[in-house]
Amino acid sequence: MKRHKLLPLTETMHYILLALKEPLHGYAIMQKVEEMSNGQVRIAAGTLYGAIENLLKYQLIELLPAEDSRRKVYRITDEGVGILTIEQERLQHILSLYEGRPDHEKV
Amino acid sequence: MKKFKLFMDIQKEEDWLNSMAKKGWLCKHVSAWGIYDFEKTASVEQVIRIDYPTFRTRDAKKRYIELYEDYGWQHLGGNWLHYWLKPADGRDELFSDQASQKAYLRRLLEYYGSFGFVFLIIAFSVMGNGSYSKSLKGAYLTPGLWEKEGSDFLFAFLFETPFALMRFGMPWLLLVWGIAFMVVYSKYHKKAKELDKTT
Repeated sequence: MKRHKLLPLTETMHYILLALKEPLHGYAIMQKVEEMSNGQVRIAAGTLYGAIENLLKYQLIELLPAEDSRRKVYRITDEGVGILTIEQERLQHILSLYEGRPDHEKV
Repeated sequence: MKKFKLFMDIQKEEDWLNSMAKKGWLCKHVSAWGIYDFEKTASVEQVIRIDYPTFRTRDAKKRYIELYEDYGWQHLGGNWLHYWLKPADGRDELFSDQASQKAYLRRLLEYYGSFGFVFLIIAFSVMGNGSYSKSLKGAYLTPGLWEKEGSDFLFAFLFETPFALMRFGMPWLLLVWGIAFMVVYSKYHKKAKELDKTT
């Protein structure tokens, strides 16, 4: 199977997808990510805009129908959840290598 | 205070705007054709950034402006290039990771490359066909102009001069612009390569 174009996810993309398990508007994504990463990841405006556009393009996130007319709210899609699952397996495998388990063993 | 200035290199433009801000001249609006509107201000700790975003949809542009404004950036104008102003607070960059910095450079390369290419193509094709750009005299097209005398000549000559200048000068101007764009292109190309090396 061909690997998805956005894989492996960058740290920024990773955090955004994880944050969007709940619906959030743009600026709230940045705040949530900062909180989730204990202040380590502060996504700048241009980086967040580009990431959102990219994730929308590949339909890993979606725009929710607007209730409040001003702010657009985003949420992860099923496809996005699928990508996170693939990443979870990849990272768990790497973690297992860190922990010294034999690498041919299935996690 | 209004100032007129043309830049090829947006990095130089950004540096200039920021150095003006340090002197207390804050740019409040940028209009097309290089007119900058400055206001004298006491607060010097302001930062200006120039962005070159692309929009897949009209809605994307709206979301782009909204998001930047939520971050505290003030939109100073722009059609292709967008100018942003914010009080400096240590979070003054538009891009926070390498993937997005690279994508920004790639967009700049597209911008300079395509403009430079188009200018050069037009300049060369016009110069190859027409002879207007070879001599200024040849750019005057009024029949029998040079045989005219006195006020007749003067009137016809002055009347056509702006058109002749345009016919003669346009290809040269495009050639100079094209080359300038390509020079900036190669500068950012080098920068992009350096960024590639660090990853």
